[in-house]
Amino acid sequence: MRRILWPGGVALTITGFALSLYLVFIRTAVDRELGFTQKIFYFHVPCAWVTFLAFAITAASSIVFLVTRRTWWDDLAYSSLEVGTVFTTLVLVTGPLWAKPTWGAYWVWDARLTTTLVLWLVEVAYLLLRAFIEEPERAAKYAAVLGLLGALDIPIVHYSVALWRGMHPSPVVMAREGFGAGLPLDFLVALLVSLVSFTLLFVMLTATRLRLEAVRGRLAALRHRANER
Amino acid sequence: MVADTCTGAWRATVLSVLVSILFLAAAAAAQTGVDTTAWHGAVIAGQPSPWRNAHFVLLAYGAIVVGIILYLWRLASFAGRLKRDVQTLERMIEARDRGVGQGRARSDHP
Repeated sequence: MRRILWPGGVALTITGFALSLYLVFIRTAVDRELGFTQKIFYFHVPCAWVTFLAFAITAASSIVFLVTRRTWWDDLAYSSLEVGTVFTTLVLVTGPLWAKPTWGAYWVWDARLTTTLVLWLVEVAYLLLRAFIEEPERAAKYAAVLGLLGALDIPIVHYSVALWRGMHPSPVVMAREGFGAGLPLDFLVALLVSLVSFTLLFVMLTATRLRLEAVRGRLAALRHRANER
Repeated sequence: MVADTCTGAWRATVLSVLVSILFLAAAAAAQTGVDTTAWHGAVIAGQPSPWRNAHFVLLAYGAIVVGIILYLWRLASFAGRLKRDVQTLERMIEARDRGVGQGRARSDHP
């Protein structure tokens, strides 16, 4: 089963990205107001979506781990968060590159930007916690609690635009007027294809990371066996 | 080993930037002929070109490509290290078990 799923997933992801780049750069129009800079939106938003998805998976897995104490759930939480951190970093890199030509500054202390930075700091703290606590069981327990606390920032990031009126644009996909109401159809289609491609990439990367955690578990068992006699 | 890996990473980075530049150049060339709803390719004198901030787009897409490649490289090197460690330990345990087995066989011999 894995022999079919793995190459299939890779092929789907590559096809998704090729289609997405074609739609973004060739099929969709150049925005009249923002010009070519608007193209950053098609990859910036999916990176943010993956950040939310990764943290939600980490929070859910952490709850299950704290209840059942099965290490597979802890491995999933760790893998998802590590991959999510890559995408949060990309959100924090691509956002300022959009902001500079649009707002005239790379960074402003807007609510959306600040809460996203806080989310990234929580992710880094989680990874540092895992790296510096030597006892695996203790590290897993503390990390699960931190993962749950950090997840509280997700709704704050999402609703920050509505709660505090800052400079960041309001949601255009999950808009108040309806799904995708804030976008022309060609823009929406390109964005949805990008969202699917990034989600596939996230799933592939997390699955790979999860397999490596299983190998690490095997290595720990071998080390234990080697020291036994 | 480290030098090889660093060279590989540099090559991957340079290659991704080159591919991004080529792709954007091709996209920019193709864009003028496409029927668009917002901008039809004609630059009116006195108005700024819609392409004026294209380097920010190049940087953003380049950052995403480089970021993902660097993470894949990290995963690959981590997988390689784990595989080497597992093989070393397995060989060590096997050799030790064989040694113990031979020792027992020798001591059992009358």
